[in-house]
Amino acid sequence: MNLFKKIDINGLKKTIQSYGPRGYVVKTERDEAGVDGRIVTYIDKGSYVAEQYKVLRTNLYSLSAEKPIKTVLITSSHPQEGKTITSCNLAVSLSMDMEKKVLLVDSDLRRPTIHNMLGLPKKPGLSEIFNKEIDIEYFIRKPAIGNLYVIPSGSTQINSSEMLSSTKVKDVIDKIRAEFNYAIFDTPPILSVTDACILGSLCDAVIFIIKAGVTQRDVIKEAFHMLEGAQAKPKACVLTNVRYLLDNYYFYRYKYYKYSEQA
Amino acid sequence: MKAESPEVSLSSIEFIVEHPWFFISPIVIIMSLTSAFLSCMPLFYQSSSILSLESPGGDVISAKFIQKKEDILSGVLMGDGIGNIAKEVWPDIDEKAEPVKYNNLVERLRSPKSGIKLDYNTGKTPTKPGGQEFLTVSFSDTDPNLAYNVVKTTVNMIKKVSKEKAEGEIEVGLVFLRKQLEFYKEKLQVIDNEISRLKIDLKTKYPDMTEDERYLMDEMLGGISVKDYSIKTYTRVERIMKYEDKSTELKLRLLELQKKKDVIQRQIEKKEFIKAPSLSPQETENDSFVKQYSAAIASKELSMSEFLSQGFTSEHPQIKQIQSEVQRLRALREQRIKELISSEMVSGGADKASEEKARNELKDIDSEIEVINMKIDALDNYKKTSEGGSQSPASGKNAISDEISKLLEIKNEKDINQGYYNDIRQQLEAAEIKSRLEKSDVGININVIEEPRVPLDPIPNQKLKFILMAFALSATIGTGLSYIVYVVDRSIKSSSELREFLQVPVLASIDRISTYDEFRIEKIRRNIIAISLITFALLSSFIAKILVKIF
Repeated sequence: MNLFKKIDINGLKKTIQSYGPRGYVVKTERDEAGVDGRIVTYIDKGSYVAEQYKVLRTNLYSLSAEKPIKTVLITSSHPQEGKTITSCNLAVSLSMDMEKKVLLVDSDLRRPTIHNMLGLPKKPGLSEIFNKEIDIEYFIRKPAIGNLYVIPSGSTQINSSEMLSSTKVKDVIDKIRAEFNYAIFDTPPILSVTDACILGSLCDAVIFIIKAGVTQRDVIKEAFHMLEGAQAKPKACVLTNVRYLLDNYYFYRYKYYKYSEQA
Repeated sequence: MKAESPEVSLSSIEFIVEHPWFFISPIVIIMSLTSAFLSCMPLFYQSSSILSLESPGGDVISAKFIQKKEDILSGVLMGDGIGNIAKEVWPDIDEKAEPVKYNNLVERLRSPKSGIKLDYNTGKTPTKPGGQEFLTVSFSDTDPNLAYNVVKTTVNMIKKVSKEKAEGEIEVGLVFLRKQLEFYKEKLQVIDNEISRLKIDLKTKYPDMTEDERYLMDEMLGGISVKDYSIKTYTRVERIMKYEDKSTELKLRLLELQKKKDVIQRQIEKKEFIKAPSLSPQETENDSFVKQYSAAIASKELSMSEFLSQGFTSEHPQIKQIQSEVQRLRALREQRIKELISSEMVSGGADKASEEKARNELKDIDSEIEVINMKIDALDNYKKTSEGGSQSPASGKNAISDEISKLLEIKNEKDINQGYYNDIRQQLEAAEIKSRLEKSDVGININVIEEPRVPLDPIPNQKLKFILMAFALSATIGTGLSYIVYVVDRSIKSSSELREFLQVPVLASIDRISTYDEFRIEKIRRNIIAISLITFALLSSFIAKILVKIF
């Protein structure tokens, strides 16, 4: 019986339920402020997934050790691979550091989602800035959620590529670079539209999102080829949709959490 | 220091967890099909019998014994042997009318898995002289009676074949002898019947026979009542018979001579030796000798035709004998007729020399008559002395003696046949003894130690074995399938793979994040698969039950 007490069956059950192959299930759909439950770093700060984003943040810091990285573009080869969630979570986790000013830009002008994720109004946004209807200062003045500044997409644009290739864009990015410590650009998928290529050449780093078990090798090769052609070779990758097995790693970490909770 | 994203070790079962349904589905499907099949499987009943095989020499381990044993068993289970078993077990099935069905049955009996099984148990002191080898014959079927019948028939067949093998070679000679014996037995029966018929005839014809004659007749007819007469009487009667035979012969000769004498005397008196006309066939027939010969020939021919009508061939020794006898009699008759004619011719001379010759002849005849008369007298005397005070022969004595002589012939015939019969019987006995001696060295002693019985309990079925086998198979298939799917999938699955593939740092591996909706959809999808698998399992068992009921 002592053995059973030591094993802590309920704990094991919980572990299996929360770390099983099915992955992380959101705690709430949306909080009072209208922030999506998938932005784990904001909603469920203590969860292991939030911890994974912290790992991402740390690695980003170390990536910028040689050459400082201020503007980060996040893209993927196909839609539904986790670009928006990753960029939101990364931005939120970066903004946790109170010393740093972080901006999240929704540069997916065709199918924008960040405003929905964060519970913000769609307009005014990036397209309004490009159309000179509104000044960028409007967004720099106050953070949207927590310590995070957000520029939504604005009104949906069909000719987004033309808009992004205008000289105005460079000015905007320069301004952002001057104002913020980090700026995260969420972009449309690279094999669908060329927006990411244009913006990528203007940003310091391109982070490529790969959905584990879905994104095919050939597709990744093709996307990398396109980005390289646009002088925007990805500096790093992020693997999403990973379904870990019950690895010892997690048990140890779970134990660690239990330990920290008790403390 | 660069913080690495957690490295996930690729455990060997990862591909199964990656594609659980590819692993689970084959297991469920194959297991449910197996269980359905097992529920369809009928109960089997096994019947068995134990035989002991032993060579007459006692030493079962000899090569000769093994050869014989194999001969016997191949005779039972190979070729026509198994067909004979099938015919005996299923007597209604016609090989020609339903060849497919018949062949199927034969194949079923012959099949090494489901057919008749022969198991040896040689562990019981086989090296010692007089040791036994045990053979278990078994057969299993859904029908206990059928299983019993097959085993019973097989055991009988083994015994039969063993017997046949042992007797086969010797039997050929014995069969011939037995047939011969049967033939002579029948023939003797025919003769006996003939004799008894004649006896009845005699009795009805001559009701006033003397006791001696009756005895004589009985004696002729096969010694029916020897014990009723003393040996003395027998010898006396026999003697009388001999005297009578002799005296009749002499009397006939006397008659002949007197006739000859009369003719010559007449010729001398008349002194004219007129050439007498040659005797006509009728006249020669009147001669008593010729008459006797003819009668004998006729009786022989009659008996011969009788034999032939009963199916005897002309090559038969009996008939050959009769034929030779007939020929001899015919030759005698011819000679007699020639003599008669020549005597007539001789008396046809007309000169003195011939007269003188005739006179001399007359003298010779006279002297001969005198001698014969003397002999007859002597015989009469002997007869009288041997008869003692007995009565004189009955009036129809001559007729009786004729009949009795006929009987004699038949008896003679019977004796000959009896001789043959005895000869053959002796040969047969010798052959049988010889065969019995040889047989003891030829065959194998087969004893039934345990008789086959109608099985009452079914064989404990091997369902667990089947289920375990099915599980192993289905697990293998499932593992293989999920592994194939895993290998064929060209997507990136882990950070290490990605790092190797792109040569670009991987900043993080983020766990799957799903909303309630996604989670619910996933759950529903999983439930649908699970439910469909369960439905399949239930349906298959249900269908199996229905099938069992139908068939």
